[in-house]
Amino acid sequence: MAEHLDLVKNEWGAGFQVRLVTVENSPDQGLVLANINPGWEDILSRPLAVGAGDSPVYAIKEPPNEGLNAIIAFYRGDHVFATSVHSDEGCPFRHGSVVPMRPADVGLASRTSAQPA
Amino acid sequence: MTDHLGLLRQYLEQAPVVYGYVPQLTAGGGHGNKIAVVLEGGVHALVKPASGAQDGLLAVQNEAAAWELACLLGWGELVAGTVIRDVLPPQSGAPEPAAVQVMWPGYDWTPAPGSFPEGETWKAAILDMLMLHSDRTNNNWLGVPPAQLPFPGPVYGSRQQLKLIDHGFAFDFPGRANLSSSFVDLHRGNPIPADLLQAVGAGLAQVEASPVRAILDDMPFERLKARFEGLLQSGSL
Repeated sequence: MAEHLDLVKNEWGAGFQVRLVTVENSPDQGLVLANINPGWEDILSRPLAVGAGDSPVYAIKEPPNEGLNAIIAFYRGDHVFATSVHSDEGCPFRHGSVVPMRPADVGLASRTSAQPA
Repeated sequence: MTDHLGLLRQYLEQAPVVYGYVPQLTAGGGHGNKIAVVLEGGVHALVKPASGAQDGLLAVQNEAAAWELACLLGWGELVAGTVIRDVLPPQSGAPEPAAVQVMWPGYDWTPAPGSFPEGETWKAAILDMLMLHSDRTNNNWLGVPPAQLPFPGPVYGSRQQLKLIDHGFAFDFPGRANLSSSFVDLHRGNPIPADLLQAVGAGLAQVEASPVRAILDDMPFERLKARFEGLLQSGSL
């Protein structure tokens, strides 16, 4: 597989990250989808509003580098995001479609409500 | 706000952390700093520290204000319970404000807007119009419970409900004070159903005394009020 990015879903409750679809920059065919979870071919065919006020773009139909950059700019949320473009060897999903989250020490201070009842 | 939602707010503001975890992979390979926690009693919450975004404190406030706005209208089912707390993130080690919000247990990413009942999409459109959401075009909503899974067939047969997420870029966020919403697009130009318009009127009557006022700065709050009044005057999107 050529250089590619992966769209990743955070399964927060379960504590792992799962690959949804791979977008590959193919020298011969432009952007090509692989490892497609149900529905993602359709979702990636929708127009993306990358910047506020910008015209929506159809990432898959763009020239490959512009298309990949648009996907990275658009998919950066808490639940679904795009990785950076990487090689096969550097792919975090080279051993499977799931990556576990890691334990972390987190402190949360108790708060008197700033949102009055 | 009804008692149970007030109790949820109080719980989210005070419950101790049982354990936490962080993702290995982050957007664009960048240094994301979102944290998952399980709070005492077993509630899963997502912690979004202010340092994770430009104008991050505003984004944190907006996340909480979005939930409070939904509750003010009586539509608290559309947005996960969200409060502001000070967090000591493992990534930085320095205390900072964060949005702490309940996680939906499982979800699909942005099912087509038309797949939801019209009542839900109307509420989403009105909320987006009021908060001036700038990042809801084909983005930032969930279908709960999940139906599209990495294997054929639904796990459970419940009807999928609409849930709105990621409200940092709303409430006249600097440089992004543009409305962009697939739900507004869906209903644009149509008269608002009478029961929902009534909720908007009731919301405006109570907004000064609501938590929304305590969270938002003066300018975005005044603009929010102006959008309430505009919707009531026009009666349509």
